[in-house]
Amino acid sequence: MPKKLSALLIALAFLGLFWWWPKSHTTPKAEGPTQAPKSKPTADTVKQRALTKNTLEDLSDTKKEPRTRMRQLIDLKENLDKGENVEKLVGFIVSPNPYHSSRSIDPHSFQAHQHQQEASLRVYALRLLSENLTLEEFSKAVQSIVKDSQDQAIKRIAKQALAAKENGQNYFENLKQGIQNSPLPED
Amino acid sequence: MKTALLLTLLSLFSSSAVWATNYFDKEETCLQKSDVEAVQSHFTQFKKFTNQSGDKICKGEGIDSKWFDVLRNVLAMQRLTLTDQLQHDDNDELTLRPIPQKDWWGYFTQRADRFVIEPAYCSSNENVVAYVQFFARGRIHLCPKFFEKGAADQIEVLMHEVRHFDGHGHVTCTQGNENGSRGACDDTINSAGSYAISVQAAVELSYVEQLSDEERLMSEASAIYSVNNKFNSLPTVKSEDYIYLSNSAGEIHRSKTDDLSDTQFVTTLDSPARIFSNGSEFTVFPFDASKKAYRVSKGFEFKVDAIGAFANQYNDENEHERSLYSGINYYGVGAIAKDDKLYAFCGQNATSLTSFPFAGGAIKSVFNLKPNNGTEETYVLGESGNVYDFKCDNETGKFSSTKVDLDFPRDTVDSFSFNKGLAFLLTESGELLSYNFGRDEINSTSLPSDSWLNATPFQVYRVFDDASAE
Repeated sequence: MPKKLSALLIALAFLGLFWWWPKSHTTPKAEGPTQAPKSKPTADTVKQRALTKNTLEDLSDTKKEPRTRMRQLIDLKENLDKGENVEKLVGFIVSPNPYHSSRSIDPHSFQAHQHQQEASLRVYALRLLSENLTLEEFSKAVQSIVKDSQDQAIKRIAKQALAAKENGQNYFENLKQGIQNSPLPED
Repeated sequence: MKTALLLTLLSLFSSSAVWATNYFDKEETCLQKSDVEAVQSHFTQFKKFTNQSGDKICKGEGIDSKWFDVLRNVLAMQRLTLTDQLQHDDNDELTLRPIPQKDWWGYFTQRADRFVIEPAYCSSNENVVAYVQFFARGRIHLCPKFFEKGAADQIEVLMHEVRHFDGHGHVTCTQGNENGSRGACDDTINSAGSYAISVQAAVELSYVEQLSDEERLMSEASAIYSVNNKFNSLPTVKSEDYIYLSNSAGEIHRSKTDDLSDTQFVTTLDSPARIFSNGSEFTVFPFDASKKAYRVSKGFEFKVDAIGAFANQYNDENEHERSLYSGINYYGVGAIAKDDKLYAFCGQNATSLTSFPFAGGAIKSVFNLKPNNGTEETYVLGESGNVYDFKCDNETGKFSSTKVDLDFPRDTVDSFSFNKGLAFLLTESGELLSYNFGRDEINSTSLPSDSWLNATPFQVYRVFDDASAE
């Protein structure tokens, strides 16, 4: 028995040495990515999860944390069928931002932060459409967004994303790189 | 038995020693005391927390949750800048030194050195997240709402606020959603005011592995929204399209596509090599097969540690096997070719390269083009002169390849596209040609000949202020 216990402890010792390996920080760009980063596979595999009507309606539910709803969007990417789901995603994008106010919002306020988060969810949803639809399909989606959204910035992003896609480009990646290439202020 | 116990204890201690605290995680409950000590000469308020014994500073043990959050954020910001610690290689003429891509830490510490948690102003302004006062340089005031934000948002707020110390205030919006709102916009993005800093910080955070996918994507989306909402002069993004070329002398030159006649010298490698861009870096494959492939920053200033799967596979081979490698492409269905096989990632969960026997025989090159429909496609040029498409079905993880009707010159060695409908071709004689898909026409370009061995595209995106608001 003691020998078995010794062997187990030795095995645990080696396991412990390699279990917590320090992560490196900020990652260099991986080989040839031009799409938004894929979510990591989860135990309840995304492919098997049915895309229900409720999932898409949940996107507008402000009682749910924005991070939770972003996770839903990430998972949605794997199941972005055409037709009804795309229509509902467009519906989310054009839906009014619940933190929009006709009065000025203090830009440093928490309400402004909440407004920004809601807008960010819509921007990511737009990115999903631009990267997963054909040019023709995305063009139709953009027409709806430009017609029905009340958010000037969202409309602008949609139009630019379409223009880039028509030229075989990815507006979101291009803009990120452009911002990366902008220098910090000199001191 | 005693030996086994000792080994177990040693492993536990050593594993805790190599445990890296994730300062980007709000759920972290302890900080490394040595990390806080390293910054306390600047943030002197932190000294009161490092006076206690032990090698960790844990929430609730001599430090409340809000101060803990402040310390955590400072340590996270210190790690926001990517640097590569490199060792000088005598065999390499490239300068090897750590160069921060953006010195966020320097930017922040040159402006801030203390925090005020929940000052009285916050009570009468419940919605305020954080603020600074121009006359109290260095001091950041944090209100209760700051601590409700996510980790990435908190860092963005801190970076944003300190820019106000430089006299950058906001202006009234003259366009867009917040037209007429005081203090809700900046004039231009390139004036690098606080909103521009927010945008830059958010993009930087979108690359931080230690943040969750959700936070990274929220940061990225937030930056894109702000670009289109927070500036009176609406920014646009445009690319400068470069072709990078290597010649038989080991020199790297580059030329802009809008004036190919003007080539600029970039650097000289220690030996002639083919270079391949992946959009942000270059991977260098020396012609001398006894030398290993390596990867460099986009300005060729320094080598990077992670060289990618293609270069790793190449380097793992012996000299003879390396000589069989030909085409390499990092865009689209990226692939590396060896004789008559292609190696690529295919499938949603692919974590290793899969080989694909190419029906067209020995492979000359692999490249991405944008035919007239604008969709980017990957193609393979065989030694036979025939061109094939090359596709990966991510659902099944399977490759396919079909001959296409592209009549490239027999001596084409490489090709690429920037915009739809047009491709560039490099020939064995070092000539750069252009190919128009619509007219099926090949023309010369004005690129001066200089025994070019290979060419690779590199687009540099920049954000410009646009005077005309839509």
